[in-house]
Amino acid sequence: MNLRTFQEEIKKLVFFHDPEPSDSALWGKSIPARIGVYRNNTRSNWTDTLDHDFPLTKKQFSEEEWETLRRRYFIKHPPQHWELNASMAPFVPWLKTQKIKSYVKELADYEWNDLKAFIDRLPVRRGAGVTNPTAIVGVYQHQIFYWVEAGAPPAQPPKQIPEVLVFYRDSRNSCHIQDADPLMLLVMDHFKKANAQLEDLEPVRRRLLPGNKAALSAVMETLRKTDLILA
Amino acid sequence: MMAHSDFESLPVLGAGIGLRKQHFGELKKTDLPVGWLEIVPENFMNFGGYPQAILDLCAGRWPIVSHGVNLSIGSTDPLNEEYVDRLKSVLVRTRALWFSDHLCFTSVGGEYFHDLLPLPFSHEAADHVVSRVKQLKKKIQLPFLLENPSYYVKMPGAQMEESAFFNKVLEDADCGMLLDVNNVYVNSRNHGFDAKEFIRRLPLHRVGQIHMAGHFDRGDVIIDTHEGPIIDPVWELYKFTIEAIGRPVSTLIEWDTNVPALADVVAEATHAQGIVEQLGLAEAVSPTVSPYPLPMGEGGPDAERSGAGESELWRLAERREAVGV
Repeated sequence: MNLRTFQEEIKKLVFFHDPEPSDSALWGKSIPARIGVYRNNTRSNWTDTLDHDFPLTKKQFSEEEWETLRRRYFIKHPPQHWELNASMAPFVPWLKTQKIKSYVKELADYEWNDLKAFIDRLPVRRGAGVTNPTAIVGVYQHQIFYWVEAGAPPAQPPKQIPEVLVFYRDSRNSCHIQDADPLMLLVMDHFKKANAQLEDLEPVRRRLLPGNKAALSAVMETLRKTDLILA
Repeated sequence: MMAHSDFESLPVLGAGIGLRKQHFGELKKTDLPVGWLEIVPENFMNFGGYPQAILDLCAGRWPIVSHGVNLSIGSTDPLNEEYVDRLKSVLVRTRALWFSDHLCFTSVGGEYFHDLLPLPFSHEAADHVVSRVKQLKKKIQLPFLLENPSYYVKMPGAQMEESAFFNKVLEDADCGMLLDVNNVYVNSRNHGFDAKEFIRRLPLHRVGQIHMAGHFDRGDVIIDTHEGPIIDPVWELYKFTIEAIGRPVSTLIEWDTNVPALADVVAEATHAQGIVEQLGLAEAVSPTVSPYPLPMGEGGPDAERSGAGESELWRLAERREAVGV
């Protein structure tokens, strides 16, 4: 057996499978019991990370339901990244394909955006003159934020009221989640471009948000103070 | 380019500790005798923000070496170019003095175990690793060490003993060795061999760093969990190892499970240094000259999170840490 085949055989024995293999090209029916150490280490590293990255999503399921869900997920998506948290990236898209409550899917998305803003590799430097590169906009059909603030109790689902949130990290490495209104999103979108000027935004605002009369300079000042615009 | 083989150019740092997230807060203000730090680069290669700021702070205060867990040097997949590039960035940013990883594989078919899987002690595996180390050394011109991992199953297809496998890989690849003394102990107990005899057979002139750690004795098998204080038989093996090598070697305390206060880990490092001194082998810590220039700072680690209620308009969510960071 060449090295490639050997490694693939080990993978068959260690990764999640349904059903689990009962024999192996390496050992026949006599698979060493200590392969279980690798199986346990590998799988618990994956599942611990998923649990850690999605603690409130986990809370929406019974222990047995969550274990089954995790197993099905890892059978479909074994980690494809060398960093464990990054390996969990397919979880939210996969969860969206599952028959579960829609607000639980939104909760998972919320938890993932929260994590992404925290670990984003892009530096957040004041004076860059652009929108904070860590900012992520999350659009939800339920009031996820307040529900999370209350600990996301499974017995009290979030209200079905749409909310738009911005997740980001400021220049002091503190992470924030805040409501976003249309004008704020317009300003943030405008300043994604280098050398963008505030005065260029006024005609765009009149066209897209004709009823909005808020002073752009005041909105800009608030976004500056909070590091959403790095001016 | 390095003027000598990797193992010949390494400074002797004394005893150090691993940088772990549980100690981030303490490290910012400690006056404990932390000699140097070993980082797990994967905990920083994919993260900005607070973890990166902490790393910058530590790199500004202590010598740094890097000990990876997912290079997957034994994998039959192509070397992950993105991984190597990111690793190099961390090494440059921290002005790392050398870097290491394990003689094992951690991925195959583009999928990662996130665990260290042993290779068969075969000529094919040895040759494969040698070619990969040579490839790596062209990309990262910093001394590179390979560690002897703990293993729980002897993989089929062995054509030589583990020590011969190590000798072949290190000699042919011309790289250094990170000798994990606890792993030798764990393996000797799990597979029933003489730990001291095993150490005598290793290419000890290539040892540039030593790892010491605790483990978990499950009864039927000992598992290398890096937990708890180091037990006396492992300290005894450490003393034997230093005597066999005949010179002081930078020694690192690994503690990853139930991580205690910083002072407890530093105490283990001090104990290791004491053994070297008792043997009359301690020497002044070498000046640490990194081949990389000082990195450009990107601001200090001011805060993990700010207080809620800064403004009625702004809402703040409690942040948690990413696993491993």
